[in-house]
Amino acid sequence: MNTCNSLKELILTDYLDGETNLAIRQQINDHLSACSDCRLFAQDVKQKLVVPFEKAPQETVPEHVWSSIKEQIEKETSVEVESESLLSKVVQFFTIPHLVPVMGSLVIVLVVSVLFFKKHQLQQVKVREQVEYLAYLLESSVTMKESDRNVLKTPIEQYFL
Amino acid sequence: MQDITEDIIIKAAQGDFASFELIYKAYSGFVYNVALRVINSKEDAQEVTQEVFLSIHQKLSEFRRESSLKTWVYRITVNCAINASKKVSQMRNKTSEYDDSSKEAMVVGDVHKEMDKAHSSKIVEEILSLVNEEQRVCLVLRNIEGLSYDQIAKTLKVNINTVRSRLKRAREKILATKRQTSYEYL
Repeated sequence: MNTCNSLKELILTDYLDGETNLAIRQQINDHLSACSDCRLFAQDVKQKLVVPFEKAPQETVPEHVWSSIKEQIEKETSVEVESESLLSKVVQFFTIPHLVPVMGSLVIVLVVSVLFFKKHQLQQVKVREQVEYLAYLLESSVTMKESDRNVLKTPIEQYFL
Repeated sequence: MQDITEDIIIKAAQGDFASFELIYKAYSGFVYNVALRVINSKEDAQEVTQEVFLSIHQKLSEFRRESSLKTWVYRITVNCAINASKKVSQMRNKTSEYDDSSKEAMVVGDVHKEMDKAHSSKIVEEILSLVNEEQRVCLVLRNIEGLSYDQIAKTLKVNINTVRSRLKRAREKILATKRQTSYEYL
């Protein structure tokens, strides 16, 4: 009975699907020729689970499916091309040959003006520094005279001066 | 079906549309049929097919060749199909609702043949509606697409014993339901 149960499992799977090796297949066949219960089970399984699938027709894919796929791909591709062409147009605009001298002279003007303003700014800084220095010198000389007067207070110092 | 070579994959990843079309021709049948069996709706299966191939087109340049292209495509398909099926199931509120469009398959010509095909399709739909999404995917990959346990395990990124167990449970459930209802379909 146990043999029959485990054989029925095999019949339902590997035996039915041709997944057993020749030796096992032969053993099952031998059992089937001796056991009527298992033989009836195998016949029932074949009739109910194999024959209907063998008779089932393979359906052909309708033509319009390919047309739809093609159309969809073409649409996607054209969107990609459009976005690519927009980008290339922008790039192209800045790389048009007649714009090269204009862009070049613009760059030169920009560089020269930057240099000029920087130089001018440096000069202004120098002048301001010089003015500040002179002011400092003048201020320090005035304070020096006052402090000198305060320092020369002893009679000997006053005599020599 | 043309074999998809490394060269075709590289060209398609670089944006060559003709190469991508070869990939579509090689795998669209699989993608559509798996989606159809998992979701059980032609309209939704078409949407999933579109979604899968748009995803392949977007991600092909990121495909690292850790698995084969086939396994990679199968994996994307299964994931998309399971997601779509869960959404559809939520909307339907029951799993046993069938797509009416399969009834429209009766066309002029060999009526008997068409009826037989529609009948077989309906039986498969009914069988698959009895199990959950994970089990259904295993049944579809094994019984309809003929993948081995190893291929299914790689596609679903699960252990081979998980595949075996899902198939076993699915089949047990189908057999039990069939016996209960004593449903005659042949």
